[in-house]
Amino acid sequence: MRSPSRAPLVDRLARVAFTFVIMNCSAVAGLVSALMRRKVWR
Amino acid sequence: MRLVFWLSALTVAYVYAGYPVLLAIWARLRPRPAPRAAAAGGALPTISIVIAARNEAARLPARIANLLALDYPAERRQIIVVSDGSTDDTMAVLARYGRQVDAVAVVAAGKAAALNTGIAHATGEILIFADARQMFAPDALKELVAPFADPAIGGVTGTLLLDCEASEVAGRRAGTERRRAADDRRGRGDRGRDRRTVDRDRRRRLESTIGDGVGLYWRYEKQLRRLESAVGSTIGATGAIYALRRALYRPLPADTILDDVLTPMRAVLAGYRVVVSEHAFAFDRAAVDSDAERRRKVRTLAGNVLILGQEPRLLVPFVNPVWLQYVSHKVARLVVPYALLGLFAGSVALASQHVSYTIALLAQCAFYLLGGYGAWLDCRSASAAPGPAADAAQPLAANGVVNA
Repeated sequence: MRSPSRAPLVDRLARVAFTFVIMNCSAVAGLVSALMRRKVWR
Repeated sequence: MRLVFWLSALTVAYVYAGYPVLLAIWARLRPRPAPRAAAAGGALPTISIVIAARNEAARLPARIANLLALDYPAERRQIIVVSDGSTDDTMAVLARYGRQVDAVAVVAAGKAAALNTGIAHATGEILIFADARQMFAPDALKELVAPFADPAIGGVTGTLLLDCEASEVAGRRAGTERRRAADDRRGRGDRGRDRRTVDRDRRRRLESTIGDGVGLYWRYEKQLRRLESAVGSTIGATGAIYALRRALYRPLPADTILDDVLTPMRAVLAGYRVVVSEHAFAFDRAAVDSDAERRRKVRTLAGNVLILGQEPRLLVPFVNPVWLQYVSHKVARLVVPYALLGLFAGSVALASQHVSYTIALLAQCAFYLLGGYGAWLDCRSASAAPGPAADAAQPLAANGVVNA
């Protein structure tokens, strides 16, 4: 069984890059949600 | 276009590298440590643990058992669970605990309103905010209240440990002795079986692409909070485990999303410090898929925007004692996506003018391609996953692996 700590470096970097992109896309979506007062929590 | 390029590049570099370096230097030059142990001879403060829950009947038994088992005098501890319009058996579950748990039912009005109601019932000097899902380490409450020995400290945030980083912290926290003790209690036969279960569960989570990235991001975020705490106050708390002097609590606006940022920042605005307790642990699992993480981040970022309207004083220098940290940590994060766009657009426009812009463009293309590969890895691991497993934090914590 392979864990990320043993995964190739490129895979680990890819995971970080993907998370970074997700976070920044979410920041834009979060701003839109807040401005439109869209319900995002309960 | 050069101005756009360089402004964007400097913004991104400052937010993710410059600010942490600045904090590290600041913390080294002018550290403001918080007490770890309670004042000598001083009794433990009375505490009220407040949980807002909606339809959490399945999780609450384990959660309450965890709270009742914590190392804190029962006569100095109050547990309040507010059922926010639950339609399941939440209230029936809570009724089983009799006087050990103060159960309050309210009509569904959101977490902020539920917290306001719960805190109106609180009698402890210190409020402890918690969620239904995460578990606390046995000594979490004592660790969490210890810094309040300093009257300048108004709030304390604990440390949330994700399953994907549990083994690291477990080792770092010199848990060998505790683990050995826990193992001795369980017996050798159970130990082997428990370990296999834990290892299998942990591996399953470690294979989550987004979980790996989130784990790294969370470690980075926690380091920022530690540094901010070391120079004064941290910006926001960890919703799963934080504490506040009850006298400092002000009812939250109904539309609050991030009570764990607004509440501590109000304490800071009132002139108190909010510090990190690195030894008060709560346990949780990292998001197992990118969609869950995206929803969580949207909620967080939307909450950050709303807070600016709820507490505009946060943006005023000299009124907000941690203005620089707040702007650098919270506000700048909202700006980064647009800086990234500016950086990319600037690179495209200027690529033919100088080799440095060409390199910048190629580097960004490589980074986004790498992100695309990460997305593919995420899809692959999601499709290969055997299905949602039980809450990871529970078996890990219960087996003494992450508590250690």
